Amino acid sequence: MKKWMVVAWVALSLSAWATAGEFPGDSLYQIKSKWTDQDGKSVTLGDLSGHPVILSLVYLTCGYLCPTVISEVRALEKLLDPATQARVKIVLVSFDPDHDRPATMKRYQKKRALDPSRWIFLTGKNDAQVRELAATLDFKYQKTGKRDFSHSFLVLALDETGRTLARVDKANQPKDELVAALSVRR
Amino acid sequence: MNWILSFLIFSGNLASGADLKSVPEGTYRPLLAKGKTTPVAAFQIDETAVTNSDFQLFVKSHPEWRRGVVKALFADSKYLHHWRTGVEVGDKSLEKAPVVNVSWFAAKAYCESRQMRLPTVDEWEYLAQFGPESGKGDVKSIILEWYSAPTPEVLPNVRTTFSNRFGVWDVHGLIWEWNYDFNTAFVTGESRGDTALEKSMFCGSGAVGAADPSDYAAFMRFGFRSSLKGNFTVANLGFRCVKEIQK
Repeated sequence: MKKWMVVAWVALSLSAWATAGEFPGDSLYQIKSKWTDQDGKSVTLGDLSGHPVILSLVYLTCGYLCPTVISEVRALEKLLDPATQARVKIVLVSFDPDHDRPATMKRYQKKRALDPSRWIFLTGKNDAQVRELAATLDFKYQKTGKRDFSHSFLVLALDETGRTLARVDKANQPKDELVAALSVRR
Repeated sequence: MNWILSFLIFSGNLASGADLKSVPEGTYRPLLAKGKTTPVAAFQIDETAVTNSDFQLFVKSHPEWRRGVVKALFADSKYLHHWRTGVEVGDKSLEKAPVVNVSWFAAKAYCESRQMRLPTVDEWEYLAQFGPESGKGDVKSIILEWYSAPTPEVLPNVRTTFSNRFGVWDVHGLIWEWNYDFNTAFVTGESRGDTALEKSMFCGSGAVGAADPSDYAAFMRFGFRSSLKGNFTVANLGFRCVKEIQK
């Protein structure tokens, strides 16, 4: 087979795989709902396929734990080797879709100087959409005030097809497992 | 008006006789709110839990929710395992029994197919405080009697325990039921608030923080909910749906 044919075949099968959405049964990308990113673009979780992913759930007006979550994810980002850093997508999904709109997310990203080539903020249409994602991840949250939530802590590593590689459910835990899981996938 | 009419016809067909009952607005005292009451807006709710035959109609028209087809992310391997096949209950005696072995995702999808949703914990707990309409027996003793009995191998039909003042059947005594927001943060112990909440639920001295420390049944329900994951299926866990009342 000629080289160009191989390239074309690979490209075709990759695109077919991506558009058919044939992810494994336990892939997070089985969730088909549409999210909005910090640039106002409509995306599905499956759009992340092909990249290793670090995923967490946050809300941006959060006073205490969320900055901790984001700081922990930043620390994790720094632990990755340059090749993994170049490929990884870091996804923060808001569970406060009423307040975390694209402009808010964009502002936050700029303020904290989070590299826009890999940091993606996502917000949903309503609570039902977020609840669905949270239920697949065993992530618990509850509104406790007008703009306040009680919630779990979660940092998740996903493979290129949206399957969970490793997770950390507590703040201030070692990140070795997440780093190893993300790094072997080069 | 037309769409309302067609919705009524549609939901009537699918729910096969499960009427909606109106529950007026009210308040209840959440277990962990230390005496505070929570307002609950008026809603409509299925008169009974969704039955096996109701759910059979649903999976026939929604193949993605059939056993063997459903994705592992949305239902574990025990999903509808008590049915004879992926689309047939296959046992006449089960038809009017509440459907169980269904995941939260499947229950949610069923309700959404009727333009409804699962009841919130607040709605369900509000409803849970009312005992039999007849006044025979109080709610706590009914519950404790039920909890102390093992789950029967074949679940009884719906409409076999009691109906409350709103005409809603079997709130206690038949099955546990899924809630829309079962994955609230009560007892994980993982975030800033949780640890205190967890303490107030399970530590002896902390139990005085609960609205009614003698409400063993409510403790059981909160504990049970917090142990669930969205794709879990359980042999005595089913659901019913709620319709919001448009203001």
